[in-house]
Amino acid sequence: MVGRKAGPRGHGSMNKKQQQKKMQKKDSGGRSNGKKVGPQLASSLLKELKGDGDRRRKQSKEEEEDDSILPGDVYEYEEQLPEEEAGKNRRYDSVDQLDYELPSDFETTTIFAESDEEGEEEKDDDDEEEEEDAEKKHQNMLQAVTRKASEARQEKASKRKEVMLSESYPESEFNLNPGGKGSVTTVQGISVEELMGSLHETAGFGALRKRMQQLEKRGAPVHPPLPKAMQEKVERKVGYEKTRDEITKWQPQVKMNREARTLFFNQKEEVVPSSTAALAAKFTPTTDMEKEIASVLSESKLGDVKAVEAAEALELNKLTVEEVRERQQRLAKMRSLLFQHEAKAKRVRNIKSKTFHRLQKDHKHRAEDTDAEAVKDAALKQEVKRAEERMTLKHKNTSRWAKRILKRGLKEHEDGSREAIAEQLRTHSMLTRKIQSVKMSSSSEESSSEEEGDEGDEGLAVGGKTRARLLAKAKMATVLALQGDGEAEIPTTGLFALPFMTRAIERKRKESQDEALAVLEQLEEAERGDAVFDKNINVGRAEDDKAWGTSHSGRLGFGDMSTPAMNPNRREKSRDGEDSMDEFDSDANLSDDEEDKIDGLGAWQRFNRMEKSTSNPLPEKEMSVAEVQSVVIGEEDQQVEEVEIFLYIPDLNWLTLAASTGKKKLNGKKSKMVAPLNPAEINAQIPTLLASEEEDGANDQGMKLLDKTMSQEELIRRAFAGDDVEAEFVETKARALDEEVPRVEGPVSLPGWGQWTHIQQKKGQPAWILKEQESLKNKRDAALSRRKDAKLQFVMISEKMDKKASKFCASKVPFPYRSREVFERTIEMPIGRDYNTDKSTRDMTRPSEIKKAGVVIEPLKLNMSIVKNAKLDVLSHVVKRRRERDSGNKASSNQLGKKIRT
Amino acid sequence: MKVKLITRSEDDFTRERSQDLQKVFRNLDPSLHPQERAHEYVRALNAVKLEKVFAKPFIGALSGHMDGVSCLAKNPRHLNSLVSASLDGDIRLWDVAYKRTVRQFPGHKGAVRGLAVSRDGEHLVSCGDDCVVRLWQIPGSFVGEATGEDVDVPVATYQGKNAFRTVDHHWNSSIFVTGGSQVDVWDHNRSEPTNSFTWGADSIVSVRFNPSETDVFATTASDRSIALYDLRMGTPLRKLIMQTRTNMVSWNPREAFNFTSANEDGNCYSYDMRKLNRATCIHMDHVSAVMDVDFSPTGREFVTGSYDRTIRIFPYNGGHSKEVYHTKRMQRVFAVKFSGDGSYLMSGSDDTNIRLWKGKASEQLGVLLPREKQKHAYLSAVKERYKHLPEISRIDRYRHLPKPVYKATKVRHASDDAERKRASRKRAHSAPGSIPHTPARKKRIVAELE
Repeated sequence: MVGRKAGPRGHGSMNKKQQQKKMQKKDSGGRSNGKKVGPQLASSLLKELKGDGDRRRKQSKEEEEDDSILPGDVYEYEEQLPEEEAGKNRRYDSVDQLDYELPSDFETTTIFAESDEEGEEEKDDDDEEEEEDAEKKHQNMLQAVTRKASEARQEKASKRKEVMLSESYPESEFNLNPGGKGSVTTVQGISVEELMGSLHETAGFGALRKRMQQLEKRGAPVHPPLPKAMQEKVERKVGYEKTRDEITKWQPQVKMNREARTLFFNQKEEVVPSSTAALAAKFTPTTDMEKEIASVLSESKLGDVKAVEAAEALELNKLTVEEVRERQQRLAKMRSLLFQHEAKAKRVRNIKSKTFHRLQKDHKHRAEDTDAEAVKDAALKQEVKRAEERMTLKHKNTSRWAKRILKRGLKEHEDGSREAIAEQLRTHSMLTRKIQSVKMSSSSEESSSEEEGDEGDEGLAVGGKTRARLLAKAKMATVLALQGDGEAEIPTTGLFALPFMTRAIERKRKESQDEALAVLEQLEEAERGDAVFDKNINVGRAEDDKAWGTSHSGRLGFGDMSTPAMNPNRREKSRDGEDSMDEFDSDANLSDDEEDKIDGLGAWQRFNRMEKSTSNPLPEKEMSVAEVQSVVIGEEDQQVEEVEIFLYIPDLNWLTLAASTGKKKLNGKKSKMVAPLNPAEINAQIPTLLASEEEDGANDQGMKLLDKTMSQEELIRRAFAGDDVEAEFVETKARALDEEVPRVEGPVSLPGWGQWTHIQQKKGQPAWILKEQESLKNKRDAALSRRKDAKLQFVMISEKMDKKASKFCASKVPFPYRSREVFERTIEMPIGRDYNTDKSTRDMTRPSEIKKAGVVIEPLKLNMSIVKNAKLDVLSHVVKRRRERDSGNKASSNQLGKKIRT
Repeated sequence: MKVKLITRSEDDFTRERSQDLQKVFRNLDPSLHPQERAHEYVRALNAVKLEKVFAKPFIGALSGHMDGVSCLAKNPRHLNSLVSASLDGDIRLWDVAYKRTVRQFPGHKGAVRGLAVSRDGEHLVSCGDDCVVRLWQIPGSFVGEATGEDVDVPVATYQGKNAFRTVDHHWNSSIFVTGGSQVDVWDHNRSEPTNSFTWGADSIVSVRFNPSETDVFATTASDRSIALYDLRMGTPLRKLIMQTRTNMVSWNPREAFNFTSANEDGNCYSYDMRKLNRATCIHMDHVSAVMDVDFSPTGREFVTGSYDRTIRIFPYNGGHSKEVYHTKRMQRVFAVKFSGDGSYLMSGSDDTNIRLWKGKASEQLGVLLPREKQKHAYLSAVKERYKHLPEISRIDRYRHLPKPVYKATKVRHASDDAERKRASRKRAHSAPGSIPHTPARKKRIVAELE
């Protein structure tokens, strides 16, 4: 107590001493940590001293230590600010004041213990304020003394609490300074570097250091774990997704069950007939006798049935020597064949000659061409190729290679690449060339390419020169045919050698010769009458062909549009409406055979024709609905109306004139009318019809044939002359209305009643009768005006309702069905045994669920085969879709900005 | 010269016995049957009428319980074995064919709330308000009626902290799940639950295992939720909160991912567990809370028992019931079950009786001759064909209802209509798009919790 009291008074004199003590204290702390802290040489001095060597350094160290104990010995050391006050790395507990008055019998070891409790009051400083402070503290102390013990204790406890450290690090050998606020990285703790320091010499230190550096560089803090609620949520989410995916495996099976017409439950499981061996294997001896027998058997080593069975099976499986040899030989043969084939293929593959490969290909093609099926296939393949080309424009310099070459300029390249590019373009033009008819696709290609030179310039317009050439050609062909006919000899053996057959052949030949001669004549005539060609319809077939062909196709023609290309179209037409056409084209006629010869078309056209003619079951005379013309003019025009006109010709037959025009007169409507006409009129009208049809589209030369003067309206008016459809309809509607809303006769007076005097006569009908009649009329009018078709002049909507029939009609189309027709179809056919065979009745009346009575139905079991199949299906679908998408992308990217020709 | 004659062998057309069937030769030429559709229509009409005549679905009642029947469990191995429990703690094993109690399992104090039979048909699990789960051995074969002398002792007893509300047994293994304050997963051989799930604080009302995807189960709770769990994941999966409480769920045994829930609002809602944001179908017709639902093992229909004292049978994908059963004395129905072969129903109600019904009201019971089978098949096919025609559909649809149910139906319809009208008017007088059009299948769903 004395010391304490003296503290504040003599604290000025004590100052130096205190400092000393403080230093001592600090030093001791430093020593206890085994660390060099406290007063040290200045760094510059240290540097100087370093030069003197180790011995000197050790000495200086000792000196330093001595210094610290005995200040003011070697050099003056002035500490600027104590480290703890500077608060550098928060290595020390923050304490407001570190100066205390120490008792005289001060011991370093007890300082910590005491400073906790009493250090507060013993603080003092040089400053005046501090003095006041000290006085205050003294007062506090007095108070504390005079206060109740319990209170004091409480306060102490609270104070102790304040000082208490929260040690987040457990005490351990690796955490030597648990009280320190700094962590492992501080000087007082153990750093990783320090730990690694001892490993300097060991192998692999470099790698370790590198890793450490990397770790430090990254230095990413580890996130604290999520709150539990969040964690669970994530878990649930993942779990749900997983289970959902897992349970989807049932989908195909469920789908199958849902779509099944009939479900079969608890059917008998197929009992696999078990073999005697299997039965024996399962057998366990139970009775005494059985056991005895089993023991005997096992003793005699016959008990193992399985072994016996296996041995028997092996015996049975044995092959004879001959069999084995035969098998080996067979295998060897197959192997050698396979090897030979492979070797050959390899050799062929290695041949670089293009000519060789082309020849081979041709050879193959020729082999294929022989049968119709192959031809068809080839055509189909070619068509696919063409479509592909149109889609991708693969050969139109779209490849990277081609683009690069074009970019650099063709001149810079040697001939090879130029040729290659030209080749590509040629291929492109080949593949995208317009083909008039499907029948022309492949077989005519070679020929057309040969003829390209002389026919290439032949487009829509058929120039006189080309025509002449064609005529010459036809003539030539006819002459050849005539010669050929004459030269051909009649077979001497077989069926054709029979006398009547020979006669028939002779006759046929004669006929055809006559016809050929006629054709020849016509051709010559045509050659002569080229000038008047335009106005004459009844020209020879060859010209006619051309006119029809060009106008008929309705499409702009490109490239190869030679006669052979048109002929198939023409021929069809002539076959369909041969009779009717012959009426028109009175002069000239070519038989089919001759036409063939003219065309020079391949076998496969003939094949097609055969098909066509056989596919028409009706005799031609009876069924002569002839599609005379169907012209589509102006494809660019979106509104193409179609007017189908059936012309009835009593003597001849039905003719259908399908004329399509781009006119907007009958906007968006399709009308079908039937009009009786006489043949004379037809003869007069057909040319005009055709003319009017074609006047819009019209640059074609062939269309000059037709009269241009007549307008569409005029045409239609003429076609339906004397056909007052409108009046007829009005009449029909009125009749129907009368039927559905009948006129009711109102009350009438008896005839003669009340008419015998002039007075009554004047009065006329009594008022009530008039009124009644009026009201009835009004009622009827109201009923009529209520009808749906009241305001629709040309529409008749029947509102007739049959009450008895309504019982058999559903009020609306029931749910699963979309349309009335489908629903009606389902109840159209009877299902009973009276109307169907036994089997079909059973099939149709099979219930949707079939189960056995009294057998428990198990829940659905997973059928792996269905799952697998479904997976495969899905996979194939995905692959297909992806492929489609890819090709689509490719196409679209290629076609960007390019017009697709279809 | 050969002369062809029309002959008719006497032997072929002479019956040996008067019961023998004679082959009927029919001419199938359509021109000879101009009235075929009319004939079949009449047959369909008659079939529908006859169906009404023969519609006698009630087979019998199993009486013996002294309190309302709270739950039923069918034996998955035996068709004639049914276990029932009542609110006084009585558990009975029934021989359904003879309508008699075979065994009693005394032990529970207080109501028994849950019953489940293991897949092998040998063990019975029961739980109740006394916080105890008991495992019983079901006798393999039973002869004679229970005398009350042979008292069964539970094989195992599992003590819980809270009362149990429900239990269900795994379809493959010896695991069962109880629901109460939480979901506990138990094993026959462990005294403590092997796993527990809690999600939210409310009590679990029902739990049902998926019969085909056996590790998945669903629970319903008093927080109006339906929750899905997977034992393999060891975690709840998803929770669906509806506007009213769901009393029971039933998985479709033929469609592993579909289940139907019995709701307090009188409707049943079918869900695809992969798409819980909307019901796949709403089944309405009940006028009060649906207490229990059970799928037929065929997966094509399910039965519901309701607080409105009726039992209804719904097609799995149909919005309205195809059948309604009721009797004068049947009270609130707490439990319904389809029999293992899908042709009978069992219902336990508050009037202490268990009732036995036919799955198809007019079905002919007993062994049928092939001809009879064919006839039935034909008639039902014809009926199916003409069911859309007004006369037939009217007769087919008609069901007699108890007066209170009939009236309640009317009231419900009226209130529904009013609500619909109100909504439409509101929509008409609001800014377009401000009142969205919620489909009925989504309307009753409050939230889908992850």
